[in-house]
Amino acid sequence: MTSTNNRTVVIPPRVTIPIGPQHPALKEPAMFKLTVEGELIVDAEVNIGYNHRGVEKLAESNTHTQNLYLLARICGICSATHNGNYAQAVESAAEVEIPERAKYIRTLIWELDRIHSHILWLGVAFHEVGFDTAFMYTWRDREVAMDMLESISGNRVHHDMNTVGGVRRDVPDELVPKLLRGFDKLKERMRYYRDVVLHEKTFWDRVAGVGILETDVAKKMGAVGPTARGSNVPVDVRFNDPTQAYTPMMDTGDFEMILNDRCDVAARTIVRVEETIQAIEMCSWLVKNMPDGPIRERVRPRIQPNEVLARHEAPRGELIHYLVTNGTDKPERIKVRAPTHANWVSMAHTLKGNYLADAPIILAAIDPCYSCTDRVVVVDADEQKMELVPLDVLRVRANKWYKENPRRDE
Amino acid sequence: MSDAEAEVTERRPAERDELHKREYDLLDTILQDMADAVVAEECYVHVQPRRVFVRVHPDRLREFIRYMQREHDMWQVSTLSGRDLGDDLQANYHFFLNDKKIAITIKVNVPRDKPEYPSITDLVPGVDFVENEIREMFGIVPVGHPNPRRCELPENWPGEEYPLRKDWADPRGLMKRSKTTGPRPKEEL
Amino acid sequence: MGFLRRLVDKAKIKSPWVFHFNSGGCNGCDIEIIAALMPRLDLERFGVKLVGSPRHADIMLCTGPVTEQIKPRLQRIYEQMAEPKYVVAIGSCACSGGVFRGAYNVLGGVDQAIPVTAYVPGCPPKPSAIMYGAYQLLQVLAEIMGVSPKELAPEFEEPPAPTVDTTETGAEVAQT
Repeated sequence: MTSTNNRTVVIPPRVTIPIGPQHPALKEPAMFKLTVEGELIVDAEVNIGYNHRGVEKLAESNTHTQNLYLLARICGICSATHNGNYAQAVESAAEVEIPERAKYIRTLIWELDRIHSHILWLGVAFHEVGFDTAFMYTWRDREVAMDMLESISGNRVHHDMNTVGGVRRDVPDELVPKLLRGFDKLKERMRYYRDVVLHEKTFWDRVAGVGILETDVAKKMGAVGPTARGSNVPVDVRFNDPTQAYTPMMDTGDFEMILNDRCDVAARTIVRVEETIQAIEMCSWLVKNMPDGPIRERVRPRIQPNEVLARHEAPRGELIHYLVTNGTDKPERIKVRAPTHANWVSMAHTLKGNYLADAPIILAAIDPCYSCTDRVVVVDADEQKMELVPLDVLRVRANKWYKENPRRDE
Repeated sequence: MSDAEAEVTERRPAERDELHKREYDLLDTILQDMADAVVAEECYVHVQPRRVFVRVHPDRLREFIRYMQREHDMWQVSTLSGRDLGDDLQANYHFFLNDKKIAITIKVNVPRDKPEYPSITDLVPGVDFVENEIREMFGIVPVGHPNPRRCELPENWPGEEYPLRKDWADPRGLMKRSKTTGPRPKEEL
Repeated sequence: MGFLRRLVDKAKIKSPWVFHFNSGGCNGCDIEIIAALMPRLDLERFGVKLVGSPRHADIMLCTGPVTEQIKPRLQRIYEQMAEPKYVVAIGSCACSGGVFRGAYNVLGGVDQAIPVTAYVPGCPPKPSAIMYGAYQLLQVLAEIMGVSPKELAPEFEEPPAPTVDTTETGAEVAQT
């Protein structure tokens, strides 16, 4: 890896270097391509595809029940969402109505999943700006949520609670006081993190005014989830298109969509923290109002020909399963649109006009479902050379840059 | 699917009852305003709440999208999925009308030997990535896409194979190769 | 717990630095690896450190079924590591392909691209299972380096056979 300490901050003519993934100078295929002038990013291009496993083709040769497990493993952090959404799709295709208790348990797992995912993201965001203490604190508190998930479903990640026609395991009554105590503890810790986010200058200065995504751009680019809600775009499947136990929950009128009009990374952080607190309240409501009854319904394995569009609000945004069945026990076509996929388009737009030092937190702010070893290619338009920078080196460099250049005025 | 089951289709139209009133109002408005652009017998309101399916002729697609954006304030785009129907290939655009709270799916059928239709990326920037994906996976070409590039398949994928089509018979045995039974011997590194 | 004591003894001979690589997986195993380094179950007290570059690492923790696009990167990163180097395949996908067996873009396990020393199955393996896998690997390291376990801890013995203890609620409690 080359060192570029002699990079000057003179404004050079802007040069676009077309570099595809097969350029001979690249040691590894690049994922992002940032064109910079000095320290300012002027253009960004996104190339995805490293996680393509061919799930949609594989799902056509599996039965519906096997697909529940396959689709849950599309993403480890939000696996309950894929699992439950597929179960919801197949039940709509078969036009069966599942028992009320199953709907509540399914929604409870969804909301617990949202809590653990947002706390995970908060820890990663703290890590991206160099605030490792808070990274450790948040992940320690996340263990409370993981313990609750493990006591309900048996596994910390990949809960696989759903089956076609309901849920597989019940929430026993002895567990309810333990869950409520866990929710209280989590709520208290999340209030503390809300204070840290809002009032801790070391964090706030790194995220305020960074990565601006205007409202109309977010609307056109199809942004979903907290990325869009942080830009004041009212998309939330739980409120617009409620299914399962969200319908009675919306009828109570106690919960409101959380929007923020700052349009920057700080807005997305605040939206996620507030959503976690709201999710804890939703979980308490679900546990207290859970009806008695059976937890699953018998569904015949052959599903009638039908086409369904099942939508669900995953922690990262709107998740869509478009399922076409054909009368056998295997699906004809399943199309999965994960929410991160929709946010890449808007992310390329937000990177422009920001400093290179902000790139790690902007990349992390849409909460991508990728591991941290993706490489970022930094194309230096001035010296016409190119280096391949691992994301953690970029992060360390970014923190050092901020230490040397104290925060610009907002 | 086949001719013998021609009557057993995937469409599950709903009754014109109270539960589906808003969806039927929307469908009637569309059928009235754009009567020649849509294929009326394949437009229907699904039994599931808040779902409308509409089929449009490929050459009238852009006009239809502009009409929906103008008249019905359609800005929330969800995704684009492809399907292999046997003789035709189909591209389904999924949108959501945020104020009416109805999800509308726009279907476009293209013939298998000439699978092209005009791209709508300039009208709806959010479908940039998925139009590339449908070109790679099915071979349906959205003509006029500003940035066609390889997005999901590996670089050494041969250009004429479209994995999600039903007649892709896995000529290189990739799916069998992934069912491994033991580590590969040292010669692979 | 006996094996924790033995792990500490073994860590004295070498505190392995690990490098983590995700070869196209779902991230489930990755968050369990990071959770193993978090305050709940702290691997760092044994000297295990997560480094950012393969050139500094002794052990590579590899997750995910290897996709076709990432295979050359994985092999290149393996080449960049310095000898002696060991690879641990974490998760069922890294061991044999997991649920993705039969998909067209998946090679079916890390051992199709690089030689693997230890396998930790699970979907995903709990952080304590990952730690146990690391312990098994350190046993291998100790043997390779010629340090017999008996020299480290004189009272080393085989772990006691798990006793099955049925309490009143009828639950089985296995003691290891």
